[in-house]
Amino acid sequence: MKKDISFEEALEKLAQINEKLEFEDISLDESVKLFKEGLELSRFCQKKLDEAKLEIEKTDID
Amino acid sequence: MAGFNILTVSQITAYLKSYLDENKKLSGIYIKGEITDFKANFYSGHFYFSLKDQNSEINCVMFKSYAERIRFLPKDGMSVIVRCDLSVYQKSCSCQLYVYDIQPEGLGAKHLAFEQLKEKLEKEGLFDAQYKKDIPPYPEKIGVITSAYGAALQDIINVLSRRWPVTKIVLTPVSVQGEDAPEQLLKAVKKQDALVRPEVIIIGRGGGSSEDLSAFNDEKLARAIFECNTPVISAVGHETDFSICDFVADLRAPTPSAAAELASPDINVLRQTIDGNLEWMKDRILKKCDNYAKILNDVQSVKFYNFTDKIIESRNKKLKEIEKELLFSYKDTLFSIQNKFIPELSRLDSNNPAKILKNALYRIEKNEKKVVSVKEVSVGDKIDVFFSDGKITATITEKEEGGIPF
Repeated sequence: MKKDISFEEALEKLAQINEKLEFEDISLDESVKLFKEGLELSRFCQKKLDEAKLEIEKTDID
Repeated sequence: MAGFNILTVSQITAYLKSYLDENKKLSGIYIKGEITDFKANFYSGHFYFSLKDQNSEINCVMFKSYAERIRFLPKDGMSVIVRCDLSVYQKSCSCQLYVYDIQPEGLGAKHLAFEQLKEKLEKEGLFDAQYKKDIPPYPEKIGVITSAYGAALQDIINVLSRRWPVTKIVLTPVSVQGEDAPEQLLKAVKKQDALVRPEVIIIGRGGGSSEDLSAFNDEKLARAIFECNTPVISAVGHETDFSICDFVADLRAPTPSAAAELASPDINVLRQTIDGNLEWMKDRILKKCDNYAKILNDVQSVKFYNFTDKIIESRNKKLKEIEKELLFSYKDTLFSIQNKFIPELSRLDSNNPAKILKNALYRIEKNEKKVVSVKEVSVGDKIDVFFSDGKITATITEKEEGGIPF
């Protein structure tokens, strides 16, 4: 999995994996691979949510 | 009067009304004057009054649906600006103004400027739905343009720290009221869009008087927001306040708190979604494994082995049959060989003259001496011939020398 993936991209990928697991006739091998990827993405999202702490930065107009 | 086209009063009145109504210059007009003869009809809720200046006076009607929205009670002698259509009241064929909005003149000038700017920008297409950008659902950087000291910033921080602490807020502090405010807001929008590059910008302030909010009605600011590449959520004042900024922004929020909500997902809902999703995936993969396990089981099942066994068994059987057949035919051959040749051989053997001779004679003697050659006897001699079962005595009657071919 790419390290610099955004939360939104991760969620989108997860949705795609779900779709594939649900509807596509794929081999067990492929399914396990997808599941592993999904697991990583889920963990990535969970971690991001668990570690989240609102950051506030200031940029002046000049 | 024959030959003239004669109209009824109603016809000419209707004609006049439609003539005026079709004239676009007489609809959506702003007229300033002093209120006189003001009456608010208690039952219908409509307002009836006249507007006058030094020279003229005109009847006005404001229907309930518009009258309800006026936040002050008009009074005789008040200088106002009204927005209205000019039309004809057919019953008395009198021209009158059908009023939508009334503003006291001091405020009215600002309001007029607001309405005119709104109309101008609307005509240019700055408010068109086709230009409205989608607000990203999971922004990781949110730009905020407001006062560093106002309640709006605190409200936005509160909402985001509760709902979506994943994000980073980049604040560009500005004056939100006063002379410098429009310029600062404009610069802030440009800087955020070009340099901060957040996924969404919230621009706004808390409630205040319409004078306080007027910086958000600036034309240049409106154009900067329109040209902004980043989606903009506008949150100016309270729910009832509308600014030019609100119309041109990609999304209008009634308050700064609402803007923060519109810009963010709810972390708890999202957590549940992700957890649920993970469970679902686990379930899916386990089911899939189960399916494969079943298939594997079938493959390994007794049935399958029986099948191969049967093949082997039937092959073996066949093999044995072939073997038997071979063996049988071999035996047969051997048998026939034995059957045919052995009697033949023994027949040949029994015809062997030597053997016959051997079997027939035992010994020949003359004068008790063994005779082995023809030369030892002469015609007339007596010889004893011994057989296995007895003895005869014979007289030689003939003699011939030389070998007899056996």
